[in-house]
Order: sequence, then C-alpha cells, then structure tokens
Amino acid sequence: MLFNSSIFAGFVLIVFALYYLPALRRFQVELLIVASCVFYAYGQPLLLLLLLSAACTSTLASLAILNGRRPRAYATAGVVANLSVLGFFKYNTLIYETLIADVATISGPAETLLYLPLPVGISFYTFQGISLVVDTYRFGDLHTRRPPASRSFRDTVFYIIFFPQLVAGPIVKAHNFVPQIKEKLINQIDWDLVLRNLIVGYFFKMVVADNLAQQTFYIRYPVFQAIGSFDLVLLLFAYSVQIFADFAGYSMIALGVAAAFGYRIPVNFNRPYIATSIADFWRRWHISLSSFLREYLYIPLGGNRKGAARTYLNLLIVMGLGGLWHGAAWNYAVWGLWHGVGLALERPFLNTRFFRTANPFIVSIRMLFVFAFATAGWLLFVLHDMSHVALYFESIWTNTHIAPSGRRVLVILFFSAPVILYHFVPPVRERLRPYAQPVLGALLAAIILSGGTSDAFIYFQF
Amino acid sequence: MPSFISSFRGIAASAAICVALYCLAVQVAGLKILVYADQFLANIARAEQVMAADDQLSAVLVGSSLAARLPENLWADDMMNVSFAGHSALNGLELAAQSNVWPKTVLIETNWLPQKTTLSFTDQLTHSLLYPVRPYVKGLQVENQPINILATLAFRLSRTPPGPESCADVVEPLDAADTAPNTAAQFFSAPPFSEAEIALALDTLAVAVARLEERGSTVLLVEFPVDAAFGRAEGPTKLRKAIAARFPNLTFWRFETHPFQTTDGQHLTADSAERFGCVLVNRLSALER
Repeated sequence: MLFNSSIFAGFVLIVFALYYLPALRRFQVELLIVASCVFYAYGQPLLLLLLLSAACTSTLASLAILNGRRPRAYATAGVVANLSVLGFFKYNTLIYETLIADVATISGPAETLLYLPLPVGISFYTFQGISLVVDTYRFGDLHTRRPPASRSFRDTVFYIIFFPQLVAGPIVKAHNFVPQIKEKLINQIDWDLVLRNLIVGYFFKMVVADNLAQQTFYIRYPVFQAIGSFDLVLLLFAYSVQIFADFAGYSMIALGVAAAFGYRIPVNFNRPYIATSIADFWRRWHISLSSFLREYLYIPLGGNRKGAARTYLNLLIVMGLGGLWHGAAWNYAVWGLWHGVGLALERPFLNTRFFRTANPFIVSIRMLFVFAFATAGWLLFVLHDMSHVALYFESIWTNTHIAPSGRRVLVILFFSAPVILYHFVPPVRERLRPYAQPVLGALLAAIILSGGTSDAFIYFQF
Repeated sequence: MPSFISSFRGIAASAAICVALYCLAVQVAGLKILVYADQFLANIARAEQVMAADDQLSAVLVGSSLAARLPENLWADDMMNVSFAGHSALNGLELAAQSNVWPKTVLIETNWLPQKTTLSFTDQLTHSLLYPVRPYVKGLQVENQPINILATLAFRLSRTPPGPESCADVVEPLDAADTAPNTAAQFFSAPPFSEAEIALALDTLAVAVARLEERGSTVLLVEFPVDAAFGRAEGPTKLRKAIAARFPNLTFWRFETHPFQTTDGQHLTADSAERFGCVLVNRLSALER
C-alpha cells in the first residue's frame, strides 16, 4: 500500500476513526497491530508471515534477555536471527552469484529459493529488531529502563510493525519508541505538526520528486549517450533533488501519520545539501540510518578510540555495509565506500582552518564540494553497471557538441526550486511563522494542480 | 494543542483561493499548450483530450514516441495527435475507439506497431477525485498544469511558433537540408520483432481498421523516417513487408528516401520533426481537397 494512493488515505481515515473511539481506547495498540498487518499484507500477504516471525523472534529474544540467565547469549542470538533473515531474503542471489556460480545455471528448489520476492521493508524491520534486542540488553525494560519486565510482548511486536515507519523508515530505536506506548487521546494530537508534515511530505513526493522522475528517466543506458554535456550534469543535479524529495517526503508523511496516532518518530533529514563536510552530510542525510550505524556498528567496532588506522578501517567497514544495506548489488557497496573514502580523506583536515573558518566564501566552496561529491555518488544508485557509470562521465566530457535543452533546464529548475528554498530559507522561517497556513495552503494547491505520476518511493525497493 | 479545525481552516481556505485564481487565469487566458514538460505529461494530457473529444475531428494521428514528437503547433484545431511515448499506435486506436472518436481520416504510424502495452497511465486520470470536474474546468486539466503553461510561454518567447499555414513553404521533394546524411550516433538497436508479435499486432490493427472504415473513416499508414541502418534492420524490414502484404489496399507512406535528422537513430530532431510534420499536414490537406 503506497502512501501516495487513495487506498492508503481511506485506510488511515478508518483506522484513525476506530483508534480514538472511546469504546476501543483500551485496545489502541492491538488495533494498530492489526492495521499494520493489513497494511503490509495488502501488497504481499504471504510475506506477512515472515514479518510476524521476525517480529516475534526479536520480541522473544528481548523477553529472554530480561528474564533469562544468559542475556548476552540471547542478545547475540537475536541479532544473528535478524541478520540471517536479512541475508537470506535480501542477499541470497548476490552471495550465490559472488561465491558460487552464475544464477542462470541453477534449477529446481534452489532456483525457487533464489527467486523468492524481496519482502518490502525487510531492511528496516530487521534493523528495528536488532535495535530492540540490543537496547533491551543495554537498558533492560524499555518502558521503565529497569529490569525485569513482563508486559512487553504486545508492545515490542507493535514497535517493529507500526505501519507508518514499517516499509521505509525512519528507523526508530526501541529505547525511543517503546516508552511512548500508552493510551492516546484525540485532544493530545499536535495538528500543526501532523498537517505540516503531511502537506510538505506529499508536496515533496508528488510535485517535486514525481515530476523530476520524468526528467531523470534519461539517466539510463543507452539513453544518456544522446544527451549533451550540460544536460547530463543537470540531470545528475535533478536526481539529487529527486531522491531527497522522494525520501524526505516519505519520511515526513510517516512522521505526520505517526503523530496523528500520538507517536513521535525521528526527523530523518536536516537540509543535507548545505552540509559543509561529508561528515556533516551524514549528520543530516537519512539521520535515522546513520545514527543506527554509529550506535550499533561503528561504536561497537571501536569507533575512533583505537587509533587512526582502526578509525579509518571502521569508517570504510561501516559505510561499505551501510551502502550494501541499500540494495543487494555491488554498486551500492561501491556507493557506500565512495562515502567511506570521502569521510576518511577529509578526517585529518577537519581541524584545519579551511574546515573551521566561518568565512562565507570558504563555507560556500565546502558546501558546493560536498554537494558535488554526494551528487556524483547518486549515479551509482541509478546505473548499476560500473561501465555505464564510467560511460556517463565520459559522455559528460565528450558530448559538448550537443546543445542543452531549454525545456529541460526550465522544468528541472522549476521543480527543484522548492527544495533549494527548503535548504536556504530556514533562517527566515521563524519570521514566516504567521504565514505558515497560507504557505501550506499554496503547497496543497500545488499538489492539486501539479501532482506528477504516482510512482513508488525510491526507498521502497530497499 | 490547536484543534484540527483551527489548524486546517486557514490551510484549506488558502488552497481553495490559489486553485480558484489559477483556474480563472487559465480560463481567461485560453492559451494553447504547445510544449509539455515531459513525455508522461504529454501522454496523459493527450489521453485526457481524446476522452473529452467530440466527433468533429477531421484527422487523428496515432503512433509511438516517434509521432508524439511532432510539434503541436502544426495541427489545426480539428486535428489531433494521439501518439503516446512508450506505447504503440494500437494503444491510441484503442483509446479513440473507447472514447467514441471517429475522425474522417486516421493516420497510423507503423514503426512500433507490435509494441502494444496496457495504457495504465489513463488510470491516473479516471481514478482522480477531480476527474468528473476536469472536462468543465480547464485549469484542472493535465494539459494546463503550471509547468506546461510556463514551458509554452518560454517556447513562445524564444521563437514565434509557426502554425499549420507555415507548412505551405515545405514542398516535396525536400531540399538538401533534410536529405543530408544522418550524423547522429545510433544508440538503440532496431526492434527485433518476432513473426508472432507482428502477426498479433496486424490482427489487432485489422480489426481496428475494419471498425474505422465501417464508420466512414479513411485509414492511412505511415512509416516514420529513421536512420537508414535502423530502417534496414531485420525487425523493421519484416514488419514493413508484413504490413504491405496484409493491407494492400491501404495507402502506406514511407520515407526511406528522405533521411531526416534524428537525435538517436530514430527520434527526429526538433527541426526535422517540424518539417516532417509539415509533410504530413500537407499530404492530409491534399487528400481532403
């Protein structure tokens, strides 16, 4: 069920109406569990069993940690179980192809196993399962942060399958979400927060991302070879804007829907394209994933506490795995390593004058460099074959004889303008607060007048 | 906490005012859209136009992205281009029949005939909550989306778009500007249509042609000019021969001797598209006379 479908709108309205009925107030969590199952099963009914199995496994592991004698062993088992589910369903083909043979040569039951459909949201719900197990091991009962606990089977299953963030995040940490589970009242809803996130989220998705998707379609092999150098660079810029608007839009919708049910989930983006260093970029882009990787992988690996060489190695490991988390293909790992190498290369210079100065000219150069670095990396998201990536850059170099398309420039600038404003206007945002409702109204009008295709969200494939 | 009513009232009122002002401006301006922001918007706008079209059309062109690229400004008010990028002429024929559009002349581009797909994008029109009011409010029609208006205004500022009358200057045989060797690199392989795909497409076409002729329409076939190597490839050659054998009584225009310029081996450049569009407009006018 896509967030940008009328079925989803109807679904949310029905669940919302039932959720706040006084007669059903005692069963709010149960209602959301059932609603989340319906939401997930709508697209992949059989894979609901996998979701529930994974959620129950994580929940049982967390209960065993609280009540058992060997919490470390249960925590390890819980993490391994989640990673195994992820590895089997997401990376089976990649592992088989890389380690054993060409998948085209196999047949029979092995072929069936290899071609099992990728369960939507598996990367997200298995990470939340890991968070649940690790946080329970670290903090004990997540409701009270005092061991032991016994009431949490229902709540912990609910934490993993809560539908607004089930299929594409934001990745919510168990110790942030579970303490919020309690009875909710309709007069506690922060409607300003709900409406702002829903309208801006849908605007980013339907007006910006979906319209730009029709332009960035041309970043495809062999289509891009017939396009001029200027336009090829412009298309990369457009993809940068599109992927931000698509994913930030999704995250805002998730935040708005969750807030309508009384739950706060984390903000996932903070104007990432004005980052002034690559490290800064990762504090602003997909914040829930980068903070997950920092907390559950980088720091346990030793972080920066074990010397310079180990720090650089840790950065490469974390970013390489983070890249691979996005998709079962080596181009995603290369994308992660691209950022890992960038982080490692800039690290020794972070304390130099170039990185510490507040001189607007130098800051602008840093911003431009980070944007260009991130934008070049996105090509690995679109073109999965490294030779096509190389050919794209070669075409930028060679296609100078092909004139730019005025229409393409106009369309890309028109639909990118809101994202550019989003990045640069915030300092004036406080002053604009009295005009918030008219501005949101104008965005709503733009959705009505300019909504593009109903494309799936880019991060749904992960 | 602010209530839903207090939060939403101002937003809804602003949105309503913006939409109303925009629709009023579009209605008053009456601008003819000549340029679409992208192929998808062009597809969906054309589908909407066909669904709302009356039966007074003199000619309709159906085809794939090759025909979809012909400039809008060349068509007279009673002509319509129902070509969809990424689809086949059969899709246009199907939609026109569903919408009860029976023009006097139907020109069918044959290049990608076997590429018939499902017209799933029309769902976006019919499933929209605004669908029932769109025929009456021009500002809500896909054609009049702000970006299309902006692109058309920019196009008009950059040059004065010639209308159908300008086609009088384009006289066959064409001059050297259009018969120069094609220099564009060929990035696409010619479609490897199988015998079965061709047979299925021609069966579907035969049914559509019979239905059109029954209603009094004149059906013409046209193979759009492509790069010479592309046109000589196995798939297009098989398709061309099969069409000629299956429809010996239909006029079949082919342009192998006019290698117009293409951007990629098969899609015409803007200049060539304009001149080729004129060739078609002139031929259609001559037929009417």
